[in-house]
Amino acid sequence: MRVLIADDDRVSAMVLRRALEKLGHQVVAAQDGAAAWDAFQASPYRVVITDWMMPKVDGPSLCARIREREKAPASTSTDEEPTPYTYVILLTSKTSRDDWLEGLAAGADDLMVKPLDAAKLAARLHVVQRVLRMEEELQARSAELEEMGAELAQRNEELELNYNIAMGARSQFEGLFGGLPVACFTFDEQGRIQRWNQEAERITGYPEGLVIGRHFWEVLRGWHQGESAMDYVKRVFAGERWDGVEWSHTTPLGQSVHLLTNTFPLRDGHGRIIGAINASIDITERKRLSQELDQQLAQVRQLNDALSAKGAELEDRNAMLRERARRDGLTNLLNHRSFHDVLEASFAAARTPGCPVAVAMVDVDHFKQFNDSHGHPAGDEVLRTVASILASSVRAPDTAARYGGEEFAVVMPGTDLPGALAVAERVRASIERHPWPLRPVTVSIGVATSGDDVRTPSGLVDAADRALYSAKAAGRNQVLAFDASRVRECRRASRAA
Amino acid sequence: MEGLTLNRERLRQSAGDDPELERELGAEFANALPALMERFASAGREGALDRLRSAAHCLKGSSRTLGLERVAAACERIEADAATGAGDNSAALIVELRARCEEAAAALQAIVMERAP
Repeated sequence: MRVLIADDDRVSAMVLRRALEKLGHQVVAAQDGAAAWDAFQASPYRVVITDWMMPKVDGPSLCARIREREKAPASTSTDEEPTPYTYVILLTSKTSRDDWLEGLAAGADDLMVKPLDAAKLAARLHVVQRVLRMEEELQARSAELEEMGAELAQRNEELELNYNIAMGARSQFEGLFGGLPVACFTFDEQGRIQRWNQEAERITGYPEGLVIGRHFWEVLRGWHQGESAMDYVKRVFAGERWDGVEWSHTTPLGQSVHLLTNTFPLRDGHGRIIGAINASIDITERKRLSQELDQQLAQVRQLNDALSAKGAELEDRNAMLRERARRDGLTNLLNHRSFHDVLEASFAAARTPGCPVAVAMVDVDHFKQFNDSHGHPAGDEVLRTVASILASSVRAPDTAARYGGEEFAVVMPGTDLPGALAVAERVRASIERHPWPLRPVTVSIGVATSGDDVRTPSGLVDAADRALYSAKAAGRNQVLAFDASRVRECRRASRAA
Repeated sequence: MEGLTLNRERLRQSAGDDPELERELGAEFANALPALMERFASAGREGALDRLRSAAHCLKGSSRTLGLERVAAACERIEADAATGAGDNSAALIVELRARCEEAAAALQAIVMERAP
């Protein structure tokens, strides 16, 4: 240690100095108290051993000055470090109790009696070293504490800042949450309601004060109850999100509300789940409109079905009317116009080589006389019977029609002249054989086929008609084929005439 | 009895069993003695009791350290006399002190001589 000694007695100072040096300390000697104070101010010492009685500045005064300096703030010191404690021992020849008390009151840590006892000095200095070491540790601990205090203050400041930020964020959240135009509530892991906004109050009819802390399924009638609700809560707190769940709620006033709900977990800045939020929109009006729309659609479907049925009926009727228009009212055979339609179609098909069309013109013999003798109703009955026999006598592809008055026609597609004559003969024979109630009825038939001499439908009808005329002229009740050569002769004769 | 002129044991203790230091201390006392005695003489002459008392206290300390018991006793008497504020016996006490100091110086000189190389 560096030790400052002060003694105006040179002999005592020499003895003290040598004793200290023997103990391994560095010694600076001042010849009196004033010189010691100057030396101390220039460079503070951890240990000062001073004589009591010295001129100008005595030992107790030196002690008092050192203690005063220690109390002063560090900035006034020559050193920026805190002023270290100085251990002061007063050496004195005084041995009275009052002197010792005075020395201790002045700031001395210890007193030793002159003449110096080197062994006692060594023992005292051990104590001094222990005390100073403790003081140093105390200083270090104090510095650490000061640093910790500063750090703590900084932490505290940060915490306060974070707290203010958190409180600001919370306030913003509360404001936003409360004013959302969607019914919202948050709940904890037990499903207990924590927050409840104004829209939730409006839609459910329950004020916030009545619901906070209660299980939400106890408040929201119509929600899944009991275990299924808890299962729902657990799944949300496990991170699951539920979107688009529809449910109904009945308000305390008995009003039914339909809600569409999204539920999802709330997380903190580290992603940890700290709660859950349920947001519902009122879809009561939408639901009502949807139901109305469904009803209207059902009505439209019904009307549509009825309309379809009517359409089908109309179609049937139209078809029937069309068919009726094609048929003769008396005989139900195809009428004159329809006959020509069939003939045109058959003639078009007959353009295929080797596929001629045949037409037979059938006329009831002496029908006028029959009418005159038996009346028109009987005549009509004859016509109906002839039609019936005609229809049943022709082949499947053939078409029988009433041509007009007592005249009928048969179109025979894909039929050559012999084939057509065979059909015509069968018809004629069937009519002749029929057991007519009033008198026998016969028909004359003229047959023609398409070919080089007959190239149009009207030409074919004309040819068959000519053959019918010939059959009538030849005595009736017979079938005659159109003879083209005779026609040609007639044409030549008429041209010659 | 006023004690020994030189208590060798005391001197040995103060010097920490260091004969060389004993010699140095003896030499220092001898060197300082004339000036010291002059301090006493002038203070006595001038009736400066404080200075007289201070000088007596100082010499008392060093003489005790060196084991000069008679010198120390003479110093105590001067200190006590000065402390009364009268200093009536100071002149006689200073004479006595000088005699004691010369005895002590002689004793110390003997030590210095016997330890001299």
